[in-house]
Amino acid sequence: MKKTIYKILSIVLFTVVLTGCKDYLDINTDPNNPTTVSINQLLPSAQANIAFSTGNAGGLNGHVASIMQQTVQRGTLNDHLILGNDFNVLVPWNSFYGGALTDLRDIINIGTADEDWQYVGIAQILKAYTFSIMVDVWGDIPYFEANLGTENPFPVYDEGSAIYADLHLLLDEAIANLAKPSNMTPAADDLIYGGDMAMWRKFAKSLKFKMYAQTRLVANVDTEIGALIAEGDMISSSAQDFGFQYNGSIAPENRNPGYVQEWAPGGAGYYINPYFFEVMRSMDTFGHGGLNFGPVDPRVPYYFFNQLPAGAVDGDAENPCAYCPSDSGTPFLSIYAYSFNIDPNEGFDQSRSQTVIGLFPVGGKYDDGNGGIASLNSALAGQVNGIGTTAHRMLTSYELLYLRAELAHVGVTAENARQLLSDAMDDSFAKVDEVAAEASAPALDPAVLTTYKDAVLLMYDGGTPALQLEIIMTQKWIASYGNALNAYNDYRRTGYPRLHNGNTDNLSVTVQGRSFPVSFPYEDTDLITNPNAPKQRLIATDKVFWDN
Amino acid sequence: MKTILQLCVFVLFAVVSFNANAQDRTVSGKVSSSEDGSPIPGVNVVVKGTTTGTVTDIDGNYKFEVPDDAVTIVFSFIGLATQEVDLGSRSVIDISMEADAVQLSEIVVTAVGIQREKKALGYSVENVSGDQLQQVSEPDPIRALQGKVAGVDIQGSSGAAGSATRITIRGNSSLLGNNQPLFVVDGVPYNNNTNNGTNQLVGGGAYGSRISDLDPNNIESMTVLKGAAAASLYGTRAANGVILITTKSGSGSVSKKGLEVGISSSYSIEQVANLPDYQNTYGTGTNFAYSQVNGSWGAPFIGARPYATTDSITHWYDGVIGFEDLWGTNVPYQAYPDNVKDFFQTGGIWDNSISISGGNETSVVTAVVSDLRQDSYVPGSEFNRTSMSIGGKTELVNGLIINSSLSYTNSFQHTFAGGANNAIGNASAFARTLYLGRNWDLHGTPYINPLNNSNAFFVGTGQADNPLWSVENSGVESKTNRWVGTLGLGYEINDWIAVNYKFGINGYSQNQTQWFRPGGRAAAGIGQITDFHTTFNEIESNFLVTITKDFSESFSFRAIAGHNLNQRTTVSQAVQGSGYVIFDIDNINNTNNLIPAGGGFAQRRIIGLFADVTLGYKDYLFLNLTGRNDWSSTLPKDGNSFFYPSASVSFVFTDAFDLSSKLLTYGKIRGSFSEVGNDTGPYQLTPVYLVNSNGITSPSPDATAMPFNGVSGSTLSNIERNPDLRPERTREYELGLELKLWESKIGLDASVYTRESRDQIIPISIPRSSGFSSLFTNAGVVSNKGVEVGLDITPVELQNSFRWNLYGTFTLNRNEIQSLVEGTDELILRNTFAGSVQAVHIVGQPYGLIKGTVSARDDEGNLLIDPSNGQLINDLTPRVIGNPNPDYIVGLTNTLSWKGLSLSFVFDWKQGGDMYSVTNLSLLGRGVTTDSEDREVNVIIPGVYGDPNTAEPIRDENGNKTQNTTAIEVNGLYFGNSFAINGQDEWSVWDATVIRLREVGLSYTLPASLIDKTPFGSASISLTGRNLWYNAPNFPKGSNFDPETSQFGNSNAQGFEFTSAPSVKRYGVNLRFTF
Repeated sequence: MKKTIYKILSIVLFTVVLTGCKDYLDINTDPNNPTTVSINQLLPSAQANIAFSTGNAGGLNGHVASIMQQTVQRGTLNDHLILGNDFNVLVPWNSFYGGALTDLRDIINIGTADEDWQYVGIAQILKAYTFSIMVDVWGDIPYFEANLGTENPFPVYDEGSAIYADLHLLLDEAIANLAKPSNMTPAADDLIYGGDMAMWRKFAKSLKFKMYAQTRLVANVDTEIGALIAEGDMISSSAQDFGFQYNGSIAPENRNPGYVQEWAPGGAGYYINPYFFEVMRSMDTFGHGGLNFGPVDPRVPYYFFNQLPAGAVDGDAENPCAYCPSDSGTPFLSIYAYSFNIDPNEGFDQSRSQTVIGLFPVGGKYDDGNGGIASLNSALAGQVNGIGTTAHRMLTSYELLYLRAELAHVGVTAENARQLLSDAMDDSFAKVDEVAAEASAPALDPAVLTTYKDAVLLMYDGGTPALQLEIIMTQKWIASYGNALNAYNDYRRTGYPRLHNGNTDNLSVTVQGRSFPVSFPYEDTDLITNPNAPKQRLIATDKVFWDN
Repeated sequence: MKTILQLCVFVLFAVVSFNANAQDRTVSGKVSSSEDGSPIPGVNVVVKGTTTGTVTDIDGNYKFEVPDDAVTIVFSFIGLATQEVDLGSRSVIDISMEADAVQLSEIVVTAVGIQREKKALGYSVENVSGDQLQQVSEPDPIRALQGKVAGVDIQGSSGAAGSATRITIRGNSSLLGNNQPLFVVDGVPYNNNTNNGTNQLVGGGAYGSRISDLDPNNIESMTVLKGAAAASLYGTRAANGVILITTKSGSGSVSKKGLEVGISSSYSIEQVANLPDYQNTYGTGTNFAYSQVNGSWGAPFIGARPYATTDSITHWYDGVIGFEDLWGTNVPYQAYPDNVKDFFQTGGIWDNSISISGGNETSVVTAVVSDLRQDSYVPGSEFNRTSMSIGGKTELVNGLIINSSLSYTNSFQHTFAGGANNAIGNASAFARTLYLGRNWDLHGTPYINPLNNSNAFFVGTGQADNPLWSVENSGVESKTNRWVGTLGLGYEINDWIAVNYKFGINGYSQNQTQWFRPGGRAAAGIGQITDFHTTFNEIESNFLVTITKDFSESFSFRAIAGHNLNQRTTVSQAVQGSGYVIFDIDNINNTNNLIPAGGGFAQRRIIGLFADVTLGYKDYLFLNLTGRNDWSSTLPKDGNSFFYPSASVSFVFTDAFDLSSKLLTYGKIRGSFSEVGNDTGPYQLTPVYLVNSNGITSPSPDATAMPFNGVSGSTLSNIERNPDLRPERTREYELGLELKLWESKIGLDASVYTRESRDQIIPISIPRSSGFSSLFTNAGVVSNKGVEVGLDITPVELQNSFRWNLYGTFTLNRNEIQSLVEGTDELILRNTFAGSVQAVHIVGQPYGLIKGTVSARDDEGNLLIDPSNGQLINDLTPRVIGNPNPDYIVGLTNTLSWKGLSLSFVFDWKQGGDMYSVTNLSLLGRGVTTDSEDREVNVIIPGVYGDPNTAEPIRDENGNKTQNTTAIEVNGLYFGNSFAINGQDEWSVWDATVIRLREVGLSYTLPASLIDKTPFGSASISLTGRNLWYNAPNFPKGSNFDPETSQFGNSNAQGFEFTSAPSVKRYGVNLRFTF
């Protein structure tokens, strides 16, 4: 019997000793996630990220469109209070650095080693675009020491001007790389241009053009601008636009994020700013003093969707309203900027009654005047939905035309500003038609378009140079709906379009307490965690380097 | 001194036989208990000074031959006072034995199952018997401990059936990692994870913690190893203390009778503990005018105010498609005082258990079957648990002892959709429930749109789901199967060497389904089902060699050497389907689009070698040294070995100096030093890419997902890794004092400790501009210092068996973040919504502070007021606004007993600790409670005028500030940019001090005389009550708020409540009998 016991004990001991060897512990390789991936995996992620982070849901445009008075938000942003932990500050800052720029870094490093030059070129262009946007919004930011991980976890903040200068070099290098023979070549994984190197080259040059124009107040850029125009290798048609085309997939979520956010149940996060609406309608009901072009802008039903049907009256709204159908004589319903916690009617729920962001910017529904509850699907009676596939436009041919009109008008170039304005308007209308076709919505009526354009050009022809510039910038502001980042730059560069001032209007429910934010606050956590970080920006006074 | 181990074996199994010499006469008799008269088997009966003797049989009878010269017979039994009886000329001696008052040789189970005399312990260990945890109308075995153990903080996360419980011992040591103790059940670690499929902030439910799989009916005892010294033999897992649980089926003990069947059956009702005091004067609206909104700031009801005129309002569903028959109709404008109360139901808990145990001289077996059915006070929510376990122990003729146990538990939890009330797309059942408009006829108004079953609510259905619709059409279900199996072998090679081996498997598999039917606020209204499957398995192997040798009369020695293997494996997978096809089929096959939603395989292993040496001197001075070396699979290969020691001393000074007196019966001081280590999780050393993920930092549902247009995408994870991680270290010093005074009528057990945890393995935040959000590395030092006191007083003990016992516990812990990583003095523990509150660690401050937005103040601390509207001005910088750590915790158990009657009540009192409460801010902001009823006045916020642009005071030409004189309405006070909704976070933090009558029990045990004639061995009936009363005085008076709640379950971020279910109270009756 003792033998049995010793048998058992020796089995136990044997097991213990056997399993005690080193291999037993050699199991710490992650079977779930790769430690290396091909760069054609990284490129689509980086592109989707840049589109989202500049876009209208969690992206920069969410705040910028409100600052530029295209939209208006209930809350502190209503009076220009932006905080470093706001969603629309935190998400882009964190996603650019933590997502897109790290992945682009890897594409550049791996692609250079493997001689995948086309990938390297694209990644460099996307990096330049991202950093240029970040400088435009935040001024001085980590650049030269950014994205180095443990090698340098606490990067210093570099001057915006130094970053811009280096981005030009980076873009030149990228343009050269695009032309080199490449081992691997992008195709469908390039979600923006499908692997078309000519398009990337055109965009790179357009970006350089835009950046030169941006710095025209602090540097003489006439030569560079002139050369790029003369070369004629920039984005010149809407097919070449730098944008991110969404599609209708619900899971995985591939729809325009602005559509998903604004048309979701629970009501839109943004109202349409009555000032934007009234300028497009050539109205002034509250003493805002905006430009009055005369005719109604034909783009209104593509831009905004009224949930109330045509003919609706104030009482049809679910609650007492702030800016009501009776104000404009249309079903348009909204709240005023600068009215947060002042206007007693500003806080009511209007999720079934308010006007929401429409087809052109995010892929909502074309407003046919029948109203309906804005939804992501029309599963329930009374609900209507949009397409959600509309591209997020980041740099378009018409924006470049407006830019050239501005440069011509201020004398940087010798081009014909009036002609460029006319072309830009045509081009922007064409873009609306393109989106309308995507949604099977009616095209713009050419006759109405002509009336409107003629009125604008008539005003231009009779205007002072200052008014002429204001007309160019105001038309650009209207056309840039959906990507207000460019309009935000324009405003700081030219002072136009003029914006509604809550202190000088005729409304008792608006008071402007805070000044216009000339830049954005840094993300709070980055300031806390980085010993090399500067102080938080004073957004009312801390300008970016090209803002004079 | 014989080893305790041997003694137990001897007593329990009575396998030792004595040689009988030639005898002259026979002595016989019966040994019974003085307590209840029941027979006591296994009592040692020996002739004093000889080895001649026997043990009593199953009926307490004994009979043996004694030599002529025998004078005295000694009766002994562990735990009972030894009796010596003069034999005289008697041949029959019946005695009754009573409990040993001092119980100097109390045995406790310590780490890795080692049994020790309590007096030899140099550290604090607290034992709780199973009786105190069973049938107290509390299905959760950990919540049943509340108020009963010093040094322990237990916090339920919600009153929802089956929800998680957080327990910490001696404070929080880990900055971001686990702070909960290791649970060891019958020698095998018991995983206590919470598997929360969805972030509890934006959805998800009141997820359970897996210790709830443990059946309280099967608990024989719980031992809390509080300090690192007590737990150090558990090595890497000891840093937060250990709770050892011995089950009835796993203990191998046997009842005094050969076969005992015990049945216990209880039924409790549960109700919402308390609801706010609602005002029923004003209905919804603003500025004393009716409108269809959330806040009850509208017109007064007829009769409530003399000027009231509104007697009816348009139906809420006017214009809502699907309710065309209600269009143009009116409903009375009146208060519905019980609209919130009526949402809740009276729930019930059925808890039935049968245990069978039996044995003979060499073998015992125990089986327990239990079934618990809990219907929650929230409609539709339930928690059910069925468990079966069987275990036994046998000694073979060759002396090999084999024990084994098996248990299986099936748990089912159905809980409502939770989350914060304001999150976009969140379908919380409590989004509005506690602050319904006062004129909302919740139960008299349809909640289902007849057109398509979608949600119907008083305000826009996009804002919130009707609670009645929500509990029916969304929820989380968890089905868990848990298995535990152990096998133990023991053998005494000779009288001083024993070997033991234990092998155990403890695992579970859980299927969790979360569903939102279409037509609600969640998942864009199209419906969504997410299935989470998790399987966890833990294998534990322990081999021990015990050497026991007494060198001389004065010196005792025991050494244990051990080897441990541990392997933990998790396999998980989640799938999400969106778009329901058929409205009410909550199966993922019923969805249109399927995407993977995470999961994977994770495995870790540990090899440990350890030794434990105890030296005793004259039974009053003991030195215990332990050491353990672990090799962990999760650390770098060339740095995966780490050693940690402990030393403890126990000194019974009353014995050493012979001080024992009536006043001071017993006194002991103890001290210990120990160090424990900790490894990390698997796969933490190398950065990885995330496949089909896009790098967007967004918890929002609108973020673009990969694959895009069929193209897959990957991104580098945001966590940078340190490949050279070192193990974490926790070092602790402890001093303790144990006293028994006035013939043990007063017992005191006090400890002071200081512990420091350094080299924590945590993802420290680094600037995103580095390309990463965090670096997984060693950093930070956290210290905890504290006092814990257990005081046991028996003020009254009368001859007629009346006894009053008081047991009090006091727990005080102070923690401080000593350092974080160089260059930063702040670490985010948990984010909530962007721009809202956070849990943060700040150097020099206590653990896990609440940080949030504040109102601007001038240099003198005056609030700045916006002259344009009389409201507060925001400060641009968020600041610390609360400390959730309690100042101290007091528990008080009173027990009054008289014959078979016993009345006990447990109070607990948690002083201090702040809580950010959205329920309270909403109650104020929505104007529904009596706190805001007196509103027909204007108020002026005390402060000075300031400039909202600069957040500086406005000064006149002389530099003087202007006092605010701008009046605002009470509505504005709570709904504007001031104190509640839309206000700054700082105004929504309250002190969470709470005092509570946790438990009341009245029980009656039928006297033995009555039972003798029945087949029953014992019978008792008891009435219990739980959470019958509480008072949290610092919350708004009308909210009647119970701060025993936590948004993030049992995670480290405490002191946050976004929208949770109120707490619960229970009344129960319990029958127990054995035969």
